[in-house]
This record gives sequence, structure tokens and C-alpha cells, in this order.
Amino acid sequence: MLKQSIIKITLVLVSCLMMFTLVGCSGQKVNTDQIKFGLGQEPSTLDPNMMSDGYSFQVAANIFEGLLNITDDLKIEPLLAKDWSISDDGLIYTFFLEENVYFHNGEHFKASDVKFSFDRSIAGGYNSTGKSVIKETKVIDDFTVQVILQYPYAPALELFASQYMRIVSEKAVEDCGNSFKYEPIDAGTGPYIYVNWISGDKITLKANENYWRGKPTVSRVIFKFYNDSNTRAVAVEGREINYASVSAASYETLMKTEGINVAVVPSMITNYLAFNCSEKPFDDPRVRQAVAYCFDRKDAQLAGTGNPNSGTVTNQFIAKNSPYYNNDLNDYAENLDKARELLAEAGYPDGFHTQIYTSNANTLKNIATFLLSCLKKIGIEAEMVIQEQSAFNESMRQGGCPIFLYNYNGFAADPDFCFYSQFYSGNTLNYAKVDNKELDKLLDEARATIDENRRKELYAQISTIVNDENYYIVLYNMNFLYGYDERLEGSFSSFSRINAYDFKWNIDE
Amino acid sequence: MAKKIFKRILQIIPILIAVTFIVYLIMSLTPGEPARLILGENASQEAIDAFNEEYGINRPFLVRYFTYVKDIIVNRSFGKSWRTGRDVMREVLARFPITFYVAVFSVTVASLIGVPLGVISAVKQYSPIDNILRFISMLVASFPPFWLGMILVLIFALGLHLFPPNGSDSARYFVLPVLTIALPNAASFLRFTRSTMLETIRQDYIRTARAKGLPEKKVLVGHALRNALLPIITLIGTSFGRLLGGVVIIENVFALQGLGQFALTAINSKDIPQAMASVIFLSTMSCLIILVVDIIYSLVDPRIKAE
Repeated sequence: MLKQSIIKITLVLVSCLMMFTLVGCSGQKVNTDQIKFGLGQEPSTLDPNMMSDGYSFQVAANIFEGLLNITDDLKIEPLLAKDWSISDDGLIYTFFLEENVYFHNGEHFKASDVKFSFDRSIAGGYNSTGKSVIKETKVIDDFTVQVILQYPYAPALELFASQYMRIVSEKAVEDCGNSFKYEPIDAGTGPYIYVNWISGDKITLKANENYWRGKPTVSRVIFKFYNDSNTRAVAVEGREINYASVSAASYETLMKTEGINVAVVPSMITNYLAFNCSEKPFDDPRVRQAVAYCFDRKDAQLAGTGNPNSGTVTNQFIAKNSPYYNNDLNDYAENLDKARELLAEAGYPDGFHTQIYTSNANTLKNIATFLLSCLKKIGIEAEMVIQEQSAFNESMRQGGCPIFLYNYNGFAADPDFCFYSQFYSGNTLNYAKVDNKELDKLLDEARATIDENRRKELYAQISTIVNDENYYIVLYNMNFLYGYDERLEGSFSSFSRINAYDFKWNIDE
Repeated sequence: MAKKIFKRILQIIPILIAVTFIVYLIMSLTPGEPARLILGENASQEAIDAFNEEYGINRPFLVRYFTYVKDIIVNRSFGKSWRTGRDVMREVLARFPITFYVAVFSVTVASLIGVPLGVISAVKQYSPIDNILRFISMLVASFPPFWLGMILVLIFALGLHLFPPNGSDSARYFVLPVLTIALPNAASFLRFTRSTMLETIRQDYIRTARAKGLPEKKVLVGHALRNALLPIITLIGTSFGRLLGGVVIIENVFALQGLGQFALTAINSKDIPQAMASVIFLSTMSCLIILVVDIIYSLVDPRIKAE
């Protein structure tokens, strides 16, 4: 009797499973009316003026636009501002706006909306660069707006192309009230309009039929969130989503999967090794240089993920295709004898004990392990201290890490962004506690000079000092790997932007 | 009976107070500033200060705790998430159905597989069937959940294209996650059922029943199983309660928006309102489930009154 009932139950279960499979057996057909993108994390907000994380920006960049745009090869182009002029003293930027642009709520895009958005962004607290650089925004007439700076700031145009300075409709913000943060209804000028946001699941956008640069090809765009990178890669493989950034570990599997491709794109995220330069023993540049000589960057990169596709070795924060890239910097190729010599000279012939701090990220932990063995070769006994992200941020900020391994997310290309925040004495992101007055002077001058050639000279000096002093040892620039359906055509951005407007389906029957 | 149930419900309150106090304390004392985690590394000091001011983070711990409790009791509000600004209890309730369905189906499938097989195993002790079942259940119980999940995805989703690999759009999406949770649980139900049945079968009254001439089936089901069921019900109940806590790993692997991931995100960004709401909800659910299990107990066994 029991046996019979068990057989019955098993049959029921199996037939249930079969029923489910028959109900929705999906082939390789795809719905070309929509694209589903996979994000690595749920955005925290869709309000462009109050953003702090890249995922929020990836979605919001399709809804809102700025006065200017920065292309993938780091050039500034006009967007909502069709032209602009800069005063001779570099303090006044006058923008001439496009006159036939309308927000999703039907309101005419005007200079007052620009002022509203800029003021709001500065007051909001997330745009620290804007706050320190911009003095005032003035409406000259409906389609002319002037921004007055506190001092001549060379990368100002890049600031106006940044995520924080996108334009929102004043009326929409007022209408939405407190819910604007995650329900920005009809507030942008961009190619896609916000439809809804199902918490924890996905955000849906629909095409803006009246988009001023032409209606988008794809009518719906969906951003789904996947916290786990493996799950995300599997979702691409299983056609749950059409495009997502994936980890280096999934590269092989996805390339082998029929119909899926993986694009390898340099990102703006750079892994580095740094020191607390304000305390012994790493206050001595010779000790820091010794560490630089005890390993080769390419070995560190391989240690990170085991996959050469994961990044490109580099010795500086500046991108290789930037005019400010310095070709004359020292790579400090592995030279254990020199390293030991330097240590002895600095007074540590027998090495010393120290700690390497890093976060829980697998890549960083692997690199730290690799470094431990390299340091051992020159007599430095180090132990690894792994901390959860918030505790790690705290440790770095308080200068409690003799050596630390982290990455820098250079979300803009101008060298001021990466040098000023990290190397200017006293700045929040100056985790290495660098205090070099000569460097400070150069940094101040470089950000205020408009002359391109003079700036190149200055940044060459700055990057040389940073390289000689080894405050930071830059390891490698991480690659983004994007797994995508082969039938999807689009552009892959170094800024990890997802411009849905540039994507379309290419299905041949 | 009703009075006793009511008393039990009242007892939940001191438990909740203790749980909330401990969790609030731990979250407030661990290092890491919520402002920096939420606003990002580039936020200015003013933004950080404004954030702290708005949410009263710099006030002394007890003041914050009592303000929080007062808000719940007086305004019936669990606050808004510091990270997203949304009402936290509404978010918890929005995610609860997924966690609930996964838990219910997993426990049901696990019971339907584990209990009958456990009975067979006990009745046919030491037979080949028993040995095979015991071996398989030990094997399955020792699979790490994420590994089992990935294997199922590899075979049934990516390989055979029978089910979607992750997501939650329709019923089909839940088959693999439910199986991933149900199979190891079925294995432990099997082993537990087997041992309680074995114990029960050895009892004198079973021998008496057989001696009375009752058919073996009636002896096993009507007497042995009925008595063995009590501890099994407790096991099923507590497993259900545990699953309601949200299996974070399964939620990650299968991209399900359940409570586990919700609570974890809150803890990682030190978003106290969101973490507290999750904890309070889950503790209450656990207590209620234990109460329900006890009630069922008293119904099944006339000797026990709900205390």
C-alpha cells in the first residue's frame, strides 16, 4: 500500500514537472521589441542629481541628458547645449541650448530647467566637484545659460558632461515631490521614459516617441538586477537577459555557447597597491620602491583572476588613449637584488613585519596572497587582513593600513579627477596620506590652467613624481566583459554606460 | 484553549523586544558609517553630516533605540530605508510572498519525498532498499546548496532547456529553486523519519496491536506512524520557519527577490531600518510557526495541551 502510494506520488510530481516544461518551452526566439540588460546590483535611485553608484547611473543615463556628452574616445560633444563659449579668464561658461527639446511631460526644455538642475545637484551633496568649482548658474534668456566658476577649472567641460549635471524638468520634480528619488515620472529629455520600478526585480523603460534626436529603434528596455555574477552570466547563457557584464571566470563558457559573444572592453577601474605614507616604515620612499621591485605587474594581474582577459597591465591611472598618458614612467620590473639593497639602505636589512589590508573581493584577495609571497622573498613578513567593505573603507580613511590593495573607479577621463582627489594633501580619498607640498602646488596649477600644452607639462611632472615616489603602485586596468546575444548590435563603453539608444536587434531570417 | 493560545501570542512580545534590542545594538556598534556606504566615497563631508542629521545617527544609542520603538508603537511605522527611501515594511511584505511560496513548496516536496521513504526504510530495515535509501540520503544531505543548485541549472536549464536558469516571472521559474532546497531537506526528513519510526515500532503497544490480529498496514499507519509523526511535525515546522528566513544563497543563484537577500543588502550597507524590519518580521513569523506547530501537536496527541 505504501509502495503504491509512493509510486503514485512520484508519478504526480513527474507529471507536474512535465506539465511545466510543456507549458513554456522556449526556443531561441527573441522578442525584438525589447532588450533586457542585467545589472550587477539594484540601483539606489533614479534621480541623476543625487546619485552615488554606477548602477543607478547606468539606468538613469537613458532617461536624462546633460548639456554635453563625452564619447567613448574621451571627446566632448554638444548635447542639450548646441554650442558654448568660455570667457578669456576661464571663469564664465555660456551655453546656447537646443531650442526644440521637450521633456517627457511635454514641458519645453529651457534655461530655467538647467539652473534648477545644477543648483539642485550642488545642494544635494553628492556632487562634491561641482560644489567646489561652480559659484553660480545664471539664466540669461530662455535658451542661454551662464555658469560662473570659483576659479578657472580646466576639466570643467567634463564636469558638465558628468552624471551629476544631467537636466531634470523642474515641473516634474515639483509634481513628484518626495517620490522623485525612485519614481522620476516624465522628468527627462532622453530617449527612454521611465515606466516602473519593481523593487528588487527590474526597472522598465519605454521608448520616447518624440525624442529630439529621433525615435529609438527598440521600444522597451528592461534592467534586471542580479547580485551574483555567476547568476548573471547564467542568465545571459540561458537567454533570460540579452546583455550583461560578466566575470572573467564565465568568459570561456560564454564564448563557447552558440549565439552568445563576449566583448572585452577596458574599463575605468584600476587596481592598485598603496601605502600609508605618513608612518614608518612606508614613509621612506626607498622602502616603497623596494616593494615595487619585488614583483612584476603581469604576475599580479594573473594572480587576480587567473585570466589574461581580465585586464591590461599599466603603471598609471591615466588611460592609454588619453593625451595625458605618460610614456616615460618607470615600470619597476622585478629585481629582487635591487629591492633588498634598497631595504638595507633604508635601515631594514633583515626586513620587517607588516600587514596588507584589503576587502572581501576575490580578485583583491588573490592579488594580496600573491604579494605576500613576493614580499617574503625580500624579507618582509606580511600578514593579510581582510575586512568587510565598510570596515575596510574606514581603515583606509583613518590611515590604519600600512599596505592596502584597492581599486580606483575613474569615472571621468581628465587627469585632475584621479590625481587631485587621491594625492592632494588632506583630501578624503587620499588614503595613502600623501603630503607633498610641491605636488599640491602642481595640482592646483594644473586644474586652473586652460592652456593644453602647459597642462600636459604639469601632469607629466605630477605623474612622474607620483611614479618616482611610489605612493601608489598601479597594477592593472580592469576589463569589463560583456556577455551578449550575438544578434544584438550596440556599442560597448569604457565608462560602463549602457546606452540603450545605440542598441538594435539584427535578426536575419 | 483559546486563552492559552492568547497567552502564547503575548509571550512573543518580550522575545521581539530582546531580538530587536540585540540586533539594533550590534548594527549600531559594528564599524562602518551608513552615510559613507550609502552616499558613496565621493560624498562631501557636508552631505555626510546632512545625512547623519536627518536620520539622527549621531544621537546616543538608547535615544535612537527608544525613538525607533516609539515610532513603531505610536505611529505604526517601521521607518524608511536609508538607502532607497522606501517604506521598509511595505518592501518586506512585497518580498515575502516569494520567500513564502518557495518555503511552502520546498517543505511540501521534501515531506512528500522524505517521510514516505523514511517509513519504507524503517519498515524494511537493513534490506537492500533501506541501505540504498540511507546512502542516497546521506549523499544528498551533504551537497552544498549552491552546488546542487548550479548542477540542476547546468543540467536542466542550460543543458536540456527544460526550465529557465533564474528569475521569477512564472511558476516554471520556481521548479529548480524548490528542488534545490527540497532535496537536501528530504534527505534529512528521511533519516529522521526512519529513526523515529524504528523507535516507535519497538514499543510494546505495537506488539500488542499485532498480537490483536490487526493487519500490518493498520498497525504501521494507524499506530506506529501516528505516534512517530509528532517529532516529525516539529522537524517540518522548524524547517519551514528556517526557510522563511530566506535562503540567501538560493536567492542569489536563482535571482529570486526574497527576504534573505533583502536583509543581507541592508546589513551590508548598515541600513538599520531595513535590517530591523526584516529581523522583526522574521522573528514574529518564527514564533508564530512554533506556536502553530505546538497547536498541531496538541491536536494530534491528546495527552498534550498547548501550554
